[in-house]
Amino acid sequence: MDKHCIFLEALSGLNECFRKDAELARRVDIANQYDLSEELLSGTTALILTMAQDQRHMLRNGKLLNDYVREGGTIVVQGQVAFPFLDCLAPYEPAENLSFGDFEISFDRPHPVFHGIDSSTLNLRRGVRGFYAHGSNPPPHDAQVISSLCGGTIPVDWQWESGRGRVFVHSGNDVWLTFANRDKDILLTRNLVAWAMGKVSLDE
Amino acid sequence: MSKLIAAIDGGTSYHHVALNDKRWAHLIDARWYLPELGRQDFSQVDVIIVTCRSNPDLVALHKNRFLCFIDGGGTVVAFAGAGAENWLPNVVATPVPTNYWWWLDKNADSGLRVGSPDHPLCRAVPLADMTWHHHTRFVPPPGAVSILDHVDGSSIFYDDQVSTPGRMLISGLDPFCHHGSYFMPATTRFLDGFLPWIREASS
Repeated sequence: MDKHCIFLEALSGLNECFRKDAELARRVDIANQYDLSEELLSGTTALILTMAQDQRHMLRNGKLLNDYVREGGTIVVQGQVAFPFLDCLAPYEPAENLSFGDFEISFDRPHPVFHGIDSSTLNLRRGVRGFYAHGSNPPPHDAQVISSLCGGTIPVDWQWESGRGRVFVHSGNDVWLTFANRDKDILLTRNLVAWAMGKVSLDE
Repeated sequence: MSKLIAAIDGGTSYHHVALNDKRWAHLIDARWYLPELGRQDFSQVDVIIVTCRSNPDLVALHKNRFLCFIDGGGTVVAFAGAGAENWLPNVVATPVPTNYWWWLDKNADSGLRVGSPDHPLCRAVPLADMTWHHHTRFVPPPGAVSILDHVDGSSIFYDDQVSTPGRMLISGLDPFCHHGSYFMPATTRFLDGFLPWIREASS
């Protein structure tokens, strides 16, 4: 089966879910971030980035990436933005002076990436909050906010459209590291990949 | 006289934030972007800090240059995830599963202990400020000094001034990554103590 989704690897070894989960491995190719090129993106439906990305390198490839989105590609951005390499990105803003309860994630609107996910479980592991997100990559005014901290006031996940393409931005660690339970991490990651590829599910 | 310090910047958000934090940015003389490390003249600095999670494959491309640097008396500091065992001599590393949760246990014990109370870094950075989690344990070569021990007899952070004419500080801690991710206050306190110390450190 054709693979049209690429995980742009930054550090070898941080690609486990795309190697070990059969459904994800079937759909997602792994490419080195320094191999990013027009040729690599040609015929690729979606590009998944990691919180460990060399964002300076992404910024140097900003035109390529922005053009890719405008022409119909989908990019998933994860982590804290230091170098805004897409037109929709701005530097990360850490949340400050939040209470324990403020770290609970709430959904602003339903989204396929979170199908089957209880929002109250996203930012809570062993009674500790903040692993999923503790700040925001500020969205542009025309973005659709999907999830937030602090009662809906600090955007965490959001979607933005440009031309024929889409960008999904997550302001925390890579989503496959969200839960203590691997099955839940895989569910969330499969949801993300399916959405990025324009599918309802990976079975489609 | 203060040392000249260069630190490796992998282009990540956490390296950028940590290396440019105004708390200590003035203590770092040069930030070397890792993919362009080949352009840098190692002889212009006294200390090279290889920050945590610097891509070990890219760092290892410069193995011979690091060896020349320490053979000439330079100091290399290698933090967790930089793969020092692949590009520095006499580094025996054992990656360990990371226990992020030890502090939630009843009678919580990190397993970390002060290695050498008389080592100047142990005076500059208290044990509490070296205590979060760790990713790698080491067996230091004979004559090296452990700064931070694990109760299993291994070292989490050691100072090797015997293997080469220079100095190697080898650590399984990842302070730049976590401070630069705005997560884990002990890593900030560690850098508050470590960076002034390494700048002024004498062998």
